[in-house]
Amino acid sequence: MALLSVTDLTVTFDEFTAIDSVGFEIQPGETLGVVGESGSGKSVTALSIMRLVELGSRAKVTRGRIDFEMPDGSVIDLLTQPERSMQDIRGKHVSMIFQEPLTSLNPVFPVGEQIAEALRVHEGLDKKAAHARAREMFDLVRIPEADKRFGQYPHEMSGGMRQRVMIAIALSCGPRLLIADEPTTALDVTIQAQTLGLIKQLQVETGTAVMLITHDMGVVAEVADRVVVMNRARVVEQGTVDEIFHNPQDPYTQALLSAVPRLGSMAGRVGPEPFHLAGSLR
Amino acid sequence: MNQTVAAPLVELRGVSRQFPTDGRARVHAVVNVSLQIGRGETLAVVGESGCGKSTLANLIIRLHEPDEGTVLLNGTDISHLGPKAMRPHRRTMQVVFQDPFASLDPRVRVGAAVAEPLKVHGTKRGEELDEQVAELFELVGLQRIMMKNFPHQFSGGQRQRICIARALALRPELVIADEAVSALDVSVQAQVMNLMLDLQNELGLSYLFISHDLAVVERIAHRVAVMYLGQIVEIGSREQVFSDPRHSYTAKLIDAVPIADPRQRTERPLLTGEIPSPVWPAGEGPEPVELIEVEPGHLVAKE
Amino acid sequence: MTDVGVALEAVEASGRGALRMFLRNKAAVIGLVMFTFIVLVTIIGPGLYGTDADKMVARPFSPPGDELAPRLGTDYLGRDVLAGIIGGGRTTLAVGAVAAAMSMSIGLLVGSLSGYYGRWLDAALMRLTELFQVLPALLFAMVLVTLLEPSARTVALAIGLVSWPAAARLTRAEFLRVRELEYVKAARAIGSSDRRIMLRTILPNAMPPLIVATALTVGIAILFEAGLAFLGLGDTSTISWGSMIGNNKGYILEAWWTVTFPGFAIFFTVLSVSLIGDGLQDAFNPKLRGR
Repeated sequence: MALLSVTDLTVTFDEFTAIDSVGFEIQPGETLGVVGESGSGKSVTALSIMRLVELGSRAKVTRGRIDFEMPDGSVIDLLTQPERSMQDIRGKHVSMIFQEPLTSLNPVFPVGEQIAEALRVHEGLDKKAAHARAREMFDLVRIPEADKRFGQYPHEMSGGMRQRVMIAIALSCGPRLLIADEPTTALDVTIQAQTLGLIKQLQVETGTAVMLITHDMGVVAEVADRVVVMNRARVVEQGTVDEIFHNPQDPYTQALLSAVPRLGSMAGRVGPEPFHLAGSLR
Repeated sequence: MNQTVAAPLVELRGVSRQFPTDGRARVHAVVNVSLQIGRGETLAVVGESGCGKSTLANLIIRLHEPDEGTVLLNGTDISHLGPKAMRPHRRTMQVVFQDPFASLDPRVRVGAAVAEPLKVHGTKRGEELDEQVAELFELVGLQRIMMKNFPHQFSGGQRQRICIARALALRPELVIADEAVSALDVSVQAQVMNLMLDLQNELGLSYLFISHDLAVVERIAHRVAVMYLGQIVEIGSREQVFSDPRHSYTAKLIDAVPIADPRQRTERPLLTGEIPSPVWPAGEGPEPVELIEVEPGHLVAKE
Repeated sequence: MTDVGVALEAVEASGRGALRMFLRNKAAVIGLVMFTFIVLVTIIGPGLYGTDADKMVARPFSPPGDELAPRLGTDYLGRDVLAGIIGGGRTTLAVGAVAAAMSMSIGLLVGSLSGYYGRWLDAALMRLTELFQVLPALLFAMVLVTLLEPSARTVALAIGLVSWPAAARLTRAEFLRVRELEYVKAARAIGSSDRRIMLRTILPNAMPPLIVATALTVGIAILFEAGLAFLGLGDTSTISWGSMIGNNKGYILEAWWTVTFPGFAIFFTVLSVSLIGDGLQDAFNPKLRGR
């Protein structure tokens, strides 16, 4: 049984269809990469699972189901849940991290406080107990000099450390699914490498399934077990990471892969070389 | 094509620039940088945030004045020229910025935006001017009827083409691409890079290609300079730097790039390093590195 | 935990280190010292000074420095001006504080609901706000006070009722701004309820301008009270700084001290409150801390 099963999901903004009949599954503990370019609908898909897409916007889920397996084995359709139950699910069973760790953290609270917040919302812990657990989360995400940094404000930390704080918040209640929306896009390449390594390691340690949304084929190739390729509101292809990268069937996937710069591909060549673009990109 | 004739197009000799920050601390943005850009050549500058690569570009186009060192353009020292004396040199160098959405005025038709530098510097007007703008549009792969449209009617990739057309209007010798393809979708990025390569072949342009993306740099550069905390720690031909990195930071950067091939996955050690800050208290500064030539054209900082 | 508890705790958590920052701001500290002094004088001053502000102590219009008169002279009834300032401050400050608290409470409630929920609720609440805003404030307050018979309580109520729209609009604007920020989405993603997001996530971030607005509202309320008293609509049974000015307004050219000294009292109170407000605004900005 899949942990999450999205069927025929369609979301519209007024006349415009943001995602059209999207369907895929996520198995417990696996990493699903969702790749696509801007406007492909990948972020709308993620926000729909969190049931945050309709909030404050004109978006409307017009069709589909999002079946989620709860820890007790029961399966619920997230789309039919009342807001009150969604509040219990968000952050506890399904959590999310965003692209920009600076703007995703509340600027007026120390970071330790913000990790404790999730624990207080869901576990009803008192201040002291929540702080103690938050401090443990700091160690889990390997934040060095944890005691000093626990009381720091977001602007006093580097981008990489902030993203670790975000990951700590997301994992604090032991969710079954972590949705990561472009988690390393705003980070420098060496920090990105550390953060991807950390996410992979934490997945092994906690068994959390990860839905990784990214435009970066390199990131997908590095961490995903299976891949969903989205283009213009639709899923155009899905398969194992090896199938997608080494035997892509859809013309869009083929074109996308032909445009990806691959480090090392130029070894032995004399001058710069243009990309040999496939299909529609030619 | 990329051999250097007599004087290189651009030469930096021991250029440094600091900025005051709050309190008495100073940002040592660029420290004792020397480099050359040959005609028809692409020099890529790579490094992470705060390494000084954008300040370096601003020093070359003289948006900033260097504190120390000289900037030579076609053999002429432009380090301390005033705005008036700088004017003729500005035509030689043009910049394409990262964000094609912010770089175009939403209320100005794109044709007029491209014509603007021609009007400021040029002599052409009327139909002759229109014709030249139309040619520029075609040069960057856009149709001439698009001149009448406004920026919001274009996609990000098309806007970046418009920015390139505007940069090329004055027939510059050097185009500085400051993260010019970083904000673009990967398919559009590849198309814009192909365009830049075509234009280089056609017009003999030199590029200073500033980027944090090593995979992109490997495609487009003849030579590569790696910057770290305001200093160049390694510089050489693309092949030398990528296939035979000699500085530990270069190697670390290359290792960090995710490879778009699941069969080449590597285990990432759980590191927690951070990028050190280029901010120093007053009176202190970074230890200047010494570059050693390990093979012809390949210079590496002593560690 | 009650809503107020959640909000207070949030403000407390976001304000850690704010005191140190506040104390570094010289103007703010001067303001605090001034304000503390003024409050102390109005509380324990009457007991220490001993003279009853209502009592005739010397010849009317004795100028300051007159041998037979008290230090700041006497008014048209021969009452001690200094005793009036000491004794009348209590009414003025109480009315100012109560009116500001009321104005900010209504403003915060209306503005936050309006800014957070938007749509029809926003439209309805904003029409209501506009209705109160287009009423001529002084006239409306005068009518209210006249209808409800003048007393310190009705004056405070009237001032509170006419001055909340500004606070509501400011709160709404701040909520609209902060609501769209990424960390509010992040707070939702951890499962926070609307109420918790408003109180713990948005409110502390909307605080700095609201703090300044509160300080200004205290100042405005004090001036308003003075204005009403000046027009004879204050509580006639007690002395306030405003009523002192109002009662003596006819003699300003002959006996300047009767209105100037109460005027100074109002001026310094309003000034001290604004200085404190400015200091608090900076103190609650975490980015300015640790410098």
